[in-house]
Amino acid sequence: MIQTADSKALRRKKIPVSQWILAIVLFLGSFIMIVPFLWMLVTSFDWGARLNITFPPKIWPEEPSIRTYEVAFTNIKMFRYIINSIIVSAGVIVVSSLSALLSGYALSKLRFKGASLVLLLALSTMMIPFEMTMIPQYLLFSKLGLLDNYLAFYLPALNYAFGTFLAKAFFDQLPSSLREAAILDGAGEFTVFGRVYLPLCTPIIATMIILLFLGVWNEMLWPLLVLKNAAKYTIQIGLAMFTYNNGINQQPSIIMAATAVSLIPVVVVYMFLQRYIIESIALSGIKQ
Amino acid sequence: MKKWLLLLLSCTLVFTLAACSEGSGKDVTGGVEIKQVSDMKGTVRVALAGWQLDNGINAQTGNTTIGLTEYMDKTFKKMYPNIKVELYQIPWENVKAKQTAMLMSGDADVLYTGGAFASQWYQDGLLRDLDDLIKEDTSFDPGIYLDGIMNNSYSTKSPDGSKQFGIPAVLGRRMTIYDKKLFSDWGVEGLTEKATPEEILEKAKKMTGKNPKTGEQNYGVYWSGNSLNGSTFVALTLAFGAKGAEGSLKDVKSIKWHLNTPEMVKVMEWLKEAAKLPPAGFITAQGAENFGLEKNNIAIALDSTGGATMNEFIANNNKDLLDRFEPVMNMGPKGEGWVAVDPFVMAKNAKDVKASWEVLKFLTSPMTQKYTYENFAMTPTIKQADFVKPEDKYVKKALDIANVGHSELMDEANPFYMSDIVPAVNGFISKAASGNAPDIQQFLDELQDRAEKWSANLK
Repeated sequence: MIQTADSKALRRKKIPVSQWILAIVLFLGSFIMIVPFLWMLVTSFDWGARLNITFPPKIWPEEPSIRTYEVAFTNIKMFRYIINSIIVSAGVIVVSSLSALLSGYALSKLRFKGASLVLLLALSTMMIPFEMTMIPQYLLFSKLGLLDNYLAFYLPALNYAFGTFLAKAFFDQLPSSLREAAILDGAGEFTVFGRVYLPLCTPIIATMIILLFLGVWNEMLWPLLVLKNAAKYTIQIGLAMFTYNNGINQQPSIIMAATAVSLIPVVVVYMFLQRYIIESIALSGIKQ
Repeated sequence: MKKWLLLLLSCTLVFTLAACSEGSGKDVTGGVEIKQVSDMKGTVRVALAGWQLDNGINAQTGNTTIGLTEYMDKTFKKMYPNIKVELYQIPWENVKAKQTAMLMSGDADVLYTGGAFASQWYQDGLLRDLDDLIKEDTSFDPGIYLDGIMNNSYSTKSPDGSKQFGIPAVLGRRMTIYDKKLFSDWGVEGLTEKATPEEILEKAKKMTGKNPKTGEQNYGVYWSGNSLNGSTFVALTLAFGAKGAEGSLKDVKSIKWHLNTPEMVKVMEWLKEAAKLPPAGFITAQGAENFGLEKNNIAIALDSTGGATMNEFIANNNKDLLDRFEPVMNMGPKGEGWVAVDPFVMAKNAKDVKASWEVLKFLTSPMTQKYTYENFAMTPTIKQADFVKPEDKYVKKALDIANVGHSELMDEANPFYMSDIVPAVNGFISKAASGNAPDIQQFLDELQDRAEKWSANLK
């Protein structure tokens, strides 16, 4: 017993004060980050909070019930909207990633005249706020007859300037001698890209998938503009529909229930790609 | 662990599949037999801000709500079997961007929207006047709508008041509501039916502090200190006779500004004094979460809706709260205040004008207003709203206030009011709440100067 107590004391001594302070700060930080999420979950099961949110917040629902979820799913086609969002996200991810990888490869390895200018022009499109271009873009798609069509997401996704920049920077780090060797062996450009370089691009592809998925999943304005038929709406538009009467009538626990469900695919993606999340932040400098 | 969690999440998603929307089997016409009215042909595209198309569940009562699609199938479709109506449901969030785009590209014929948006679109030439259609149609009676919002609102009338471009469909509720229990605890006499700003301030001051009976902190008065449309400020300008400006929105560059008059000084003095009384969060519209409910600690709420109290009554049949929270008229001399109204409007380039008019007329009719009130608690805009629940005194008060409403230049339809006056007044309130209110005359002189320069720049 004495020995155990001694070893415990020894272990306690080994942890420096700075570590304790760090642990406390991290704990407080995590607590602050997780409280809104927990509040959302608790409220989502509180039938009593369907009309007026309980204030101050409670750690346990006043009227625990899953009826909030029933109302959320009955009033809005939640499941369909989630499927729609998955279709849109998947398409945009495929189109954007492929476009960014191909253009990044070309800019990095093909060394054609004006490559720097092309990159500069592509990057300069990122400086124009979406609010400036959305109405002309909408009118263009209207004239093309592509409203209410998911091509209105996939076509603009071809221009993924940030992805091009990321991919070019990544390809720059890979030796050009690989390409030269493959070309000498008789490989064509697409074979070099697909068979030699693409298998080395897993980290950058994962980064792009994460950034694109979160961006598209949370997108509200463009889907709202181009989609007319409610059956094609995405989940973010669905969530916005829980506000009635010019935004006056809110239904807190119903919105929270819908939001909680809408987060499930995000959590699933996070679980599959979590080991790339930190890497993506380090690679891109972006945290979404 | 990860697999289990994934399985759990997947099951949650699967088991919460949407309920299929099928016919409710409910009567939506109030027993009225629907007959064919016309064999007119056409297609009308209707863009609706915030309406629910599918059947659902009323979160208040747990009863089934009938979506607009079923309602239209049971009514309009029978009346006009050859008019095809395409309904586009748009959430209120970013609705202006969406509907503006639809108007510009000619993708909508009839729109239900916010009053301020409608007013702006009309001034931008995107909407059509309805006067010719009203004149030709003997079955349409404009007299059934509340005068204050049909004839005196920038949301339905042109800036000079000569043209009708919108028909009011849903009314915004803004009234003074007081808590009889707190008044009784403090031994203060209840508000009069047309409580003036002076009466409100005097009584509010008496009821700010520790409640003599419960010992809890009470606050005399509350209003939203960061209101985007400055509705309380508007009501005060009406009460003190501070017009703020003269002229017409049809010719904004010729508006004569009167923002630094003695009457406007009184408005600001009232705000300066009253800003000491609400809970601190009022400058960001916080602190009144419990107004209208059991735990309330605010004696008087300005521009309130009564929604929380009515919700409790509908959900739990709580009559005590209904008796406790009493509405009175707004602060203007006749009890008027700023009245919001959301109209139906028609696009300038509507494809099929006659069919669009029939749809617009139907969607603003008493039958549709009854349907929206019963299913979605939307406030009607007609004089004879006999379908309103007898207990719903807040809607009745809102109708009384709307009936005496009139448009002034201190309104969200006025561009300078929205871009400069409201932010300036909200900034003033914020400073006053922290005891640092600027010199009122100087503040108003500067505002007047800015307004004059703004007008001069337009010339």
